[in-house]
Amino acid sequence: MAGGGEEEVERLAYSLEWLRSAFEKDGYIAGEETLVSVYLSLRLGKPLLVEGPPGVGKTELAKVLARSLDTELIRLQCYEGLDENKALYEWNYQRQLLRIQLARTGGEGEQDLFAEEFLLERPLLRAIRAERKPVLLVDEVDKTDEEFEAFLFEVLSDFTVSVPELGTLRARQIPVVVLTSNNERELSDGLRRRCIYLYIDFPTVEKEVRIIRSRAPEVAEELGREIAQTVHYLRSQLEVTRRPSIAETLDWARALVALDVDRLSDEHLGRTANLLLKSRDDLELLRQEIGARGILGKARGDA
Amino acid sequence: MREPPGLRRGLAEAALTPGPERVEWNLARFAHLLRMAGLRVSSAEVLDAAKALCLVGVAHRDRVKASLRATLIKSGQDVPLFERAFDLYFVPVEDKRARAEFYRRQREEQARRRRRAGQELVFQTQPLDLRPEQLDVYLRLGEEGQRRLRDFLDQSSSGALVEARHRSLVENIVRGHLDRHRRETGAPTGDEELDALADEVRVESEADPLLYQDLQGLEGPELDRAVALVRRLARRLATRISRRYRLTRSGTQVDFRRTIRRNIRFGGIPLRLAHRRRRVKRPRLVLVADVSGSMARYSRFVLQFLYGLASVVACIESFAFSERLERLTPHFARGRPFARTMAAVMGQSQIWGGGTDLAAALETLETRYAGKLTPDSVLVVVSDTKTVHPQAAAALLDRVGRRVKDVLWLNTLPRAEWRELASVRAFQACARMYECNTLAHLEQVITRQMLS
Repeated sequence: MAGGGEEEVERLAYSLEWLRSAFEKDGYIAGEETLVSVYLSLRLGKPLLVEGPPGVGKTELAKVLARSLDTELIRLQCYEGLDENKALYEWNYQRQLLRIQLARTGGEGEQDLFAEEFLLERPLLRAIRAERKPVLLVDEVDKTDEEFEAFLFEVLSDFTVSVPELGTLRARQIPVVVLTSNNERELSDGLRRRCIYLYIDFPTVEKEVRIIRSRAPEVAEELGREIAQTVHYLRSQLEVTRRPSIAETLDWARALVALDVDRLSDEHLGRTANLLLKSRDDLELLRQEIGARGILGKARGDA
Repeated sequence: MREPPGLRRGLAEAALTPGPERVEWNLARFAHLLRMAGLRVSSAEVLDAAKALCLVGVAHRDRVKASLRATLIKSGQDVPLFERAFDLYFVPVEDKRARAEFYRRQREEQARRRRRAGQELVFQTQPLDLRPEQLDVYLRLGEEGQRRLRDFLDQSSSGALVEARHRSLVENIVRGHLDRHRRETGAPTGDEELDALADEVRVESEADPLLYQDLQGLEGPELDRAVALVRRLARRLATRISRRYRLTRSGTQVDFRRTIRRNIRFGGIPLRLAHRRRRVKRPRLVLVADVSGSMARYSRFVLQFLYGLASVVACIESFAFSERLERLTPHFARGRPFARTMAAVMGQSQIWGGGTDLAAALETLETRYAGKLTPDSVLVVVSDTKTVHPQAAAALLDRVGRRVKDVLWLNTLPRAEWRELASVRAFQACARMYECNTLAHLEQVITRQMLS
């Protein structure tokens, strides 16, 4: 019988070309490298570890992947102090207590307090027990501490979870796993080794123009190019503490259209820079740079 | 995951027909090249790469590159090295032929040099019995190393008590020496093409040499670059400090008093639990930097570094001293750019470039800032130890040292000069001293000593 398993293989046997068009349809402009890495991660059934500076679309990649595969996205946002209780499962303590109270007053017979109805599923367990192969996004995995990373590594290795009171819960199917990291802490070798690795850097001017055109079609070609050049210049040449993200580029582009700008000038940049740079020092630096030499001319020359 | 159907057959064929045209052969060699260049590539990863190539095919160079990159390397900092190695290794067929020709010639040249080396390494005019790899190591020893080995052979060949039967003993010593050297420098494969490529990849990917230069000798543009480097270093370390010492585990202990109080409204049934939070102590740093004339070049970097750390981490107290002590902490308030901070510090301070009197500085520290010297703080002194009254200063440092957890001394003098200075010895008795005159030193001391 061609059961669910066969179908699954069928579904994932999508070609690289299919992935490319699916991403493009969703407006996610991905380079060859990103596509190949995602494709390999799907076909080899290994987690995809995405690294890169903040704001290059690491999280977005997982979301787009979930939409492309037409499946649920389960997100585990990591932070310091995240533990198994919050990532895997927890017993619904309050409900258990209420049940005890009811049993006492209503005189109901003894019931199992550790049945599934009292189990609170957290993202990891949810991903493992999902009916359809979900996309599990483990966001900013570098923010957790070493112990949790080791635990995560174990879960991602065999996709079984043992709940002492219930027994071992096995994955119905292996989820598609995407891990992102901002490299705040070195991840362990073991975790890295299990993964397909992808490093996403800020896009080139060409690519950013395409991103702008695809995400904000109201921006004219010419303006889009100027925006991409300027942002590229800010990222590469100016010593800012936080480099503008792609999302900020898009915000800025939309803002410029809203202000009826059709050719960018230093004045426009100066007035709307707070959409790109979000600290006082950076803005001051930009103002000085505009005052001293002007940025747009140089950005054009640079590109 | 099922194994791709073509793989097993492909690998079997590869085993039967090894040769430069086979994908697997090239893959294995490429992985080896990466290892020689210092990356850790396991066989599991090579197998992944093989599976990946089966899936993606080898028709498009970009895709091959992307597949290998996704499977063989696992860290952003390895990306440039990988790119370099890939571009060097996977070249068009014509280039490959030209390269093969080049390596053939190089091989001949190497054989000639080996013969010559064999003639140089003799015991009582008889050549020693050495393997070709050992001769290669000898050739790579450099002028000085080669001469020393030859001198050793000369000396052990002559002499009244030397007999021909000592030959095997000498031979063993030479072999041992060469083999040890070979292990230390990374064994070449004996495959000239791969060895030469590995050398090229390694050279390209060396870390910034600026890290290893004495800061005192930096000039002009190098200085600017070093300043930028320091800033990056500080930012990176600062994220690490603030990360490590934040609360890592939310309270796992139940706080009974608060739980009972909170649950009175439920008739005493403990529905809402209150947890007790564990308090984590961060290490406090008290930095005392020498900004006297002899230290001027270093202080700039030290201050830059302090600024970088202090702007992110709040638990650092900074002082500068020459003849007197001044507190710098207020200047390093968050959010002010470095240039302005420096202008403020230099403008208000009168101690820059003066003489050095550590004893006076420590006395001020002890009397006026006693509150900063707590049992959980680490005192860090940055100085070249050249101060007036070193004995008095050492006694004071010893006393101050008892009030804090630890005393570290970052000495900007090269370690080789320490032995001749009485002041170094005096201070070494009451502080742990580290050499610190390059950025690499600075980073090392901070990560290993202050943060661990």
